[in-house]
Amino acid sequence: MKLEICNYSGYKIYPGHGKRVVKIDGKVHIYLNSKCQRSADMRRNPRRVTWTVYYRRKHKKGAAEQEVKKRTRRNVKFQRAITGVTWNEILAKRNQQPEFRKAQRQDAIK
Amino acid sequence: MNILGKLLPTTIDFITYRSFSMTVPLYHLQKVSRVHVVDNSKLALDGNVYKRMPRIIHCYKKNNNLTRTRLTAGLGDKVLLAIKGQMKKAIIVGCQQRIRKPNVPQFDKNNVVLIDDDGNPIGTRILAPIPAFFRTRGDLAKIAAIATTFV
Repeated sequence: MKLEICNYSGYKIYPGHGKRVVKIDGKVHIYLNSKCQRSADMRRNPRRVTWTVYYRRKHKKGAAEQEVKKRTRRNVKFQRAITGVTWNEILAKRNQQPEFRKAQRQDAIK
Repeated sequence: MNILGKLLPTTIDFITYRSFSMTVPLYHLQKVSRVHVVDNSKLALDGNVYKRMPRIIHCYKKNNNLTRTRLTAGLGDKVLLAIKGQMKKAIIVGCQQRIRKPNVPQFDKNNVVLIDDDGNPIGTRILAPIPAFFRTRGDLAKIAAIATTFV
């Protein structure tokens, strides 16, 4: 059992409902009911017809709003060089081993 | 005058009530129905452009209840066409009639595929989608073989 989706309204079509129409250019349209079919025949754009799924998506009605709110911005920590010291020098100082520092201090004391 | 007297009340009723119901057009395919050939054979390409649209002359249908004048044809039925002044057999491959069976689509035009007397299609390709049940029916298998898309 395959659930089709109405080409016009976007609703699900359960078995036993709906109508399939093949147009002259060979394209197949699946309509949920005659309301959808007649609107399509009248050339009404579903994106302007208020009750269709396409309209609601275009005008962002309903559930889409909540999804967008959940995404919050994360602050990215970014480290950079300062005017007196280049980034390489900062890294070198950071990565010094404690024994190396101890040795430096010993030298300084002497 | 007598006749007028009998007519008048009914016509007045008709005007005041205006009640007559109309059925949805049935779109039966029968004699003189105009039809669109969907082959890529030469006859088909010429016949669609000819001064007269291809027309059904006779429906081969094994239904003895129907009288000769009301012989109708539907999806998958064999039919005699008049194309470009010639007579040719064909099979109906898509019709505007709404068929209330599951998974059978309705088409915007009455499509037809040309056949010779043995049942072999004349063209090599069919340019329109074909209903899917053509694959399962044995006598329509030759047409399903040259079809490009199924609906």
